[in-house]
Parts: sequence; C-alpha cells; structure tokens
Amino acid sequence: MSDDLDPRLARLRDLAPPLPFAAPEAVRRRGEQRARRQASVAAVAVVAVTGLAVGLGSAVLQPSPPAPPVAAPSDTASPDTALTDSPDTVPSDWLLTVDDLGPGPWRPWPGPEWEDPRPPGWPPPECLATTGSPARTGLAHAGWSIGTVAERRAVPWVHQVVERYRPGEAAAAFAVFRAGVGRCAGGDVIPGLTYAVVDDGFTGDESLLVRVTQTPADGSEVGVTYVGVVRVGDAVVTVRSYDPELGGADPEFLRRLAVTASARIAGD
Amino acid sequence: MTDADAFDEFYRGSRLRLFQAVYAMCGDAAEAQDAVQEAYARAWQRWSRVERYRDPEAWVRTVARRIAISRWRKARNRLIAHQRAGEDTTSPGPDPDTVALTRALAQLPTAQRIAIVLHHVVGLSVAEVAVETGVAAGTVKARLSRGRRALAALLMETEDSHV
Repeated sequence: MSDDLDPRLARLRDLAPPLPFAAPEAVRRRGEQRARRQASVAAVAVVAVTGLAVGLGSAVLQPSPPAPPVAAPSDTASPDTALTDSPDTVPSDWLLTVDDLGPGPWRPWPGPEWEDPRPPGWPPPECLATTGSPARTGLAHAGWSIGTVAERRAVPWVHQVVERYRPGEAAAAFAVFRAGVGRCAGGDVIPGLTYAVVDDGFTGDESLLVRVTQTPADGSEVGVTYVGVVRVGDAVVTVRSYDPELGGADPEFLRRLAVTASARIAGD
Repeated sequence: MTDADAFDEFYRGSRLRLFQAVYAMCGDAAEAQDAVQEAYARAWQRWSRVERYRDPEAWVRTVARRIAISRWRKARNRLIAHQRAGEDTTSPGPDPDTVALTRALAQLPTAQRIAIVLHHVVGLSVAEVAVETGVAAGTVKARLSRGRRALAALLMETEDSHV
C-alpha cells in the first residue's frame, strides 16, 4: 500500500481548480476592499474606546521600584556597546516608533499587563533561574495594534520592553533568558510549551530569536509565536509581535524589529 | 517593476501549487480555491512586508491553510448535507480515486494531514515542514509515519467496501 500511496498523493499535483482563477487585478481589488473595510471598522472601534485610549500615549515610561540586592556582575559581561546615561532611565528615543512597524493603521496600545519580574514573552518563572538574576533599574515599554485594543488577540500587534541594568548586569539578565529557553526547550518542565532558538547573535551585543510552540492537549493545531531578545550594553530589549493571519508571529518581521530596536539603543 | 507587477507575477506563478496543497488539506476544491484567493488578497493588503520575506509563498500558504481549516467543518457539514440531498451530476468533479484520497486525508488528525500535504504534495523537505509548522523535525517524521499508516488503512477500507 505504501508503494501505492506516493503516486496517488503525487497526482494531487495535477489537479486543476474548478473555476478559472480570478485575475490578479480582482485579487488586488479584493485586498484593497478588505483593507478599507478593516480601517473603517477600526475607526469606529477607536471612537468607542476613546475613553480607554486617551492618555495612554505610544509609550509608557516608568521607573522601576527600588532594586533589591543584586548578584555579582556576570563574568560573561564583555566590553561592548557603551551606554553613557544613567542606568535608571530609558530615553524615549530608544523605543521603536510607528514608522518602524511598516504599513498599516497602527495605533498606540498599552500592551499586556504583567506581574512576572520578567517581560512578557520570556519563559515562565518555572523555567528561569531564581539565583544570579539581577534586578532591572529602569523600564520602558511601548505597544501598537491595528484594530480594536479590546480584542487585541484578534488583531496585529507589536510590543517592546526595554530594561536597564547596572553596568555589567545586563549580560547576566540576558544569560537568565538564554538559560530559561534552554531549560524549557524540550517541554519537560511545562508540558506542551517548548522553545527553540531560531537565530543567535544576529544583532546587538547578544541576541536570540526564539520560537515558542504551544501544543494544545487536545491535539489541535499548535500555536507558534516568536520572541526576540537583544542586549545592547546595559540594556535588554524584548520584542514580540502577533499576526492573526498566521495565528502567531512572523519571524522575519520580528527579526527586523529587533535589529531596529537594537540600532535605536546603540544610537546607530 | 511596480508592486502590482511583482504581486501579479507572484500570484500567477504560485496560485496553482497553493490550490493543490489546500485542496489536499480540506478536500473541497471550491473551498480551497476560495481560501487561496482570500489569502492572496490578504497578502496584497500587506504586500510591502510580505514581498520582503524569504519565502512569501510560505506566508500565503500558511494563511490559506488557516482559512481553509477554519472553514473545514462547515465544508464537511455542507458535504454531508449535499450527500443527503443526492449526488450532483451537473458539473464534473475530481476522479473517484482523488475523491477517495481527499476523503481519507480529511479523516486524519489535522497535524498529520498538514505534514503529509506539505511534504508529499507541496514537496517541502522534512526540515522545511518543521519550520512551517513550528515543530521539531523528529515530530514531523513521526506525523508523516503515523499519517501514512493511517491513510493507507483508510484507503484500504474504502477499496474493500467497493469490492
């Protein structure tokens, strides 16, 4: 039977569609109509949530609470990008801007709320080392979405978190991320949740692009998303995005955002 | 070359492959064609981004697959209703062997069906299927192996029932 299966499957490649394909112009027109409809729906939604949106701004800058005692500087710290200002501030021009996101009616989004000491997208606490983990001294984050913020899981979004550390400690924080990805890579610690490094060292002083896969217990289609974490000097930036068409993130788009975020911090 | 020219060339060059892959996944030619064209329309919406991807076809295929699978239950329900109402003889459909194969594919778990179609119909390597579906290569191999076994058994049942 197995010998018979390959040619039968191969014959599917000879199938013709039941109707002629639409002309390219018609497909483009359909795409443009869809974009216009989404834009008008988004505009209505924005009016409806004006009260929520007012005052959020495109970026939320906040100081961190006083830092607890910190671990000794990691010996993995190396002479690298020098950031000259105070480690308890995150300059606003370090954040991505809407122009970095590419085409689309991007609107400010405050991003998810989170309670873990680490940014959203990092492995959960079960995966992260509890010792040798430095506390950040400064924090800023920014988010954007296309469409209604109230239904953010169903619309494209981008979220960025920038953390500052005392000189030499950002490398230790980055090492915590790297080790957490490694610890939970196989899904043994948290069943159904696995991590895989897609790219390593593509920008900044250190960087990882990581694929996060969630396999539902019911065997339905896996959810795949990506997170990019970059260290530039004493700063660590985490970027994530979501594309509902893909049910996750596009790694190329995220990589470009991570590279841009890195350059912004380095002043390139 | 303008954006529209580049998109049109991409659309003309890849649409048949995508249709065949999505048809194999959902088992309904009309649904497959609709899902593929919808996916291309969405690609045009964000063409300035999609065209810069290493493999724009993979993006459209993933989107079309998601559209098709989300409509799959509806399509299956329509098929059941259609069968209750009697065979439609007004338009020629795929040959019986293809119908049997796509019906058998439709009975596989979604993950196995996707792996089989991407590998055997689209022609992606195991590594490429792993990237596109976000799982390890070993998982893809296991899905292919289990899927092929199940598919062979289902086709055998179909053939036996017609003897």
